Amino acid sequence: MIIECGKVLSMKNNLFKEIFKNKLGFMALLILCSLYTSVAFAPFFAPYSYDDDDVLSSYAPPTKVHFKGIRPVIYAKDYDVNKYYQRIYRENESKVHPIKFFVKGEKYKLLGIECDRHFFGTEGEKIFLLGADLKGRDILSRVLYGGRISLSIGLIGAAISLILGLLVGGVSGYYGGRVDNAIMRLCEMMMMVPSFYLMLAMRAAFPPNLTSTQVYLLIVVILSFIGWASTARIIRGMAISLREREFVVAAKTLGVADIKIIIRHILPHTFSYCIVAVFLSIPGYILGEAALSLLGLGIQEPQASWGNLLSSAMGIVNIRLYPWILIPGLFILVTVMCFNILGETLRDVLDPKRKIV
Amino acid sequence: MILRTKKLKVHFKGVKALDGVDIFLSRGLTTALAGESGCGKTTLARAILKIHEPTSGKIYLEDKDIALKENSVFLHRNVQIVFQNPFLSLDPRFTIFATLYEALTVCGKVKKKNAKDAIVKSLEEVELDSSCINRYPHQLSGGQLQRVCIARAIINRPALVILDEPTSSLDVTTASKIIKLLNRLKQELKVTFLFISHDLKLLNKISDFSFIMHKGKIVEYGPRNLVYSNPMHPYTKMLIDASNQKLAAMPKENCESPCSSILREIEPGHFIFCD
Repeated sequence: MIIECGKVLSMKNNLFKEIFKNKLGFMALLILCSLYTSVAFAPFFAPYSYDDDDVLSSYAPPTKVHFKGIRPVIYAKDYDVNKYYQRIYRENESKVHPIKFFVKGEKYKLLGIECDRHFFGTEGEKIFLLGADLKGRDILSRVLYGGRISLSIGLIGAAISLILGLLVGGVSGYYGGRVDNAIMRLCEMMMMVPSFYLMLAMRAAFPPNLTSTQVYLLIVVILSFIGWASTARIIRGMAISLREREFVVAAKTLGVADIKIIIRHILPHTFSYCIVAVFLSIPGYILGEAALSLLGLGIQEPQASWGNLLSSAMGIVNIRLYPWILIPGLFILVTVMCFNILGETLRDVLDPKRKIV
Repeated sequence: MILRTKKLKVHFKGVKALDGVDIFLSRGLTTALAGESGCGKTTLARAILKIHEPTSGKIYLEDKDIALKENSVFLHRNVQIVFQNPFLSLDPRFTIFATLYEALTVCGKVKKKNAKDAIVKSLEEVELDSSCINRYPHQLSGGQLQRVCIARAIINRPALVILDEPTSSLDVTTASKIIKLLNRLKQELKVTFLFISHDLKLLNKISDFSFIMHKGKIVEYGPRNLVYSNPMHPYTKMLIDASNQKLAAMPKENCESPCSSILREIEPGHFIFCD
C-alpha cells in the first residue's frame, strides 16, 4: 500500500472524481455530510431541546403530517387510557396546526450567537416527527443532539488512536530490536483481551458519578486506548520496509534526528493506508459508545447519545408497544454502513490493484 | 589520511559480509573500491556511515573513533553518500527544495531566504537549472536526480563523499557527464571520494588509488596505474579480464582463488595478499 509520489499527486486530484464516479460511495459521502451538518447545527434543526419533556406526550407516536393544499399541517392529539392504563393517542381533526419554517422557539446558542429560530415547528401543539419517549421528549431532537456525541466520538476516537498507532508503530518499526519486541508484545496483550470486556473493565476503574463532559472524555480515551494496538502493528510492518529504503538511509546519513525521520519520511508513506483504516474504524467507535451508553455506563440522562437513546428500547414490551423508540438504532445502522462503504470506496480509489470487479 | 578502518568485521547471522578489512583513504584523492556484486563493498560503505554496526574492528575518521557517540555529529558532518539508484534515494513526497533544505538545516537553523540562495548555488554547482527547485523527483530524469543527490551530499561541504556505484543505473552518456561533474567537483571543492564500483574501466579513469575486494576481504591494493596495469592477485586479474570481456578464456579455478593472509609488497606501494 506504499505508493509513489507520482501516483499520490495524480490521486489527490482524482480522489473526489473517483468517489463521485462510484455512486454508492458518493451516496455514503452525501449522507454522512448531511448527518454531520445537521448534528453540528442540531439546536437549529431540532424543533425542541434534548431535555424538553412533556408529561402529556409520553410515548406519543410519530406525528402524521397532512397537507391542506400545499401547506403541511398536523392535527392536535387527544388520548384515551385503555384498560391496561396505556395512553392511546388519536388525532383531533377539528384542531389544525400548520407546520411553520424558521419558527420562533426555545432560545439557544450556536457558534456563540444567541438565536431563537428553529428550522421548523408548530404553534400550540408539539410535533414529534419520530415520536416521543417515556418523558414526552421529541426523539428527533434527541437524535440530533445525541448525534453530536456519537458522531464526534467516532472521529475523535479514531483520530487519537490513529495518532497513537502511527507513533508507536513508527517508533517500533524504525528502531526494531528490543524496542520493537517490547512494544509488539504490549500490543499483542492489548489485542488479546476481548475489547468489550476491556472497555467495561476500564470504565469500572473510574468512579460512576462523573459529569457528562468527564464521561465523554473518558469514553473517547477508553475507546482510543483499545483501538491503537492493531493500527500500530500494521504501521510497524510498513515502517520496517520503509526504513530500508534509500531515501530513509540518506536522511540517516545526513544526521537527521530519528523522530524527524519517522515523522517526515516514514509515516507520510503510510497515509494511504491510514485514510482507509480511519474510515473503516470509525464505526467501531460509534458502536463502542453506543454499547457503553446502552448499558448505562456511558453518557447519562438527560444528555442524549444514540446509545443511551436505545437503552429505553431494551425491554421487549416497550419495543412491541412503541416501536419508534428503535429509530436511533436506524441512525447508527445508516452511519456505520456509510462509513464502511466510504472506507471501501477510498480503498479502491487509493489502491486500484485490490479492486474487486 | 582522512579515514582508516582497522580489522573491520561485519557479520550478519553467519554471513561474513566484511571479514577483517583494513583500508585507508588519503585526503583529496579518489580511492576506488572494486569487486564483484556481494563482495561487501556496500556493507563497508554502510559500516563507515554507521548504518551497520561493526561486529568488531574500528573505523577512524581523522583519528576519531566513530563508534563513540560524541563523534557521531562529526561523522555526519564530514561523511556523505551518493547511492546507486537516484530514483530510490530521494523521498518521492519531497520537492527538490525540501530535500536540499533538510540537508542544509541538519547542522543548524538557516533562514529560508539564505537557504534558497544556498540551494540554488549548490544546484548550479551540479549544473542543474534552479527552475527544478519546486519539482518532485518523478518530474526529473535519472541524470538530473543523481545530480540532486550529489548536491545533497556536498551541500554541507563534507570532507569525504562515498559514491556507491553512482553511475550504474544511468545510461552511458549520462554516466560520463556525471563522471565529468565528479572530477570537476573534486578539483573545485578538494573533496575526497571513495568510489565504489565493479566497473574497472571506469575506476581506471577516475581513481588515484585502488582497493580490490573479494569475499569480504581486501586482496590487493595500490596506486591505480600499478593495480590495473600490473595486476598480481588472480582475482584482480580475473576482474580486469572480465571487464575486457575475456571471461571465456579464464581458467575457472582462478575465480575461486582463496584469500590468503600474507601481505606482500610486489612493487613500491603495490600490495597483494598471497601465499
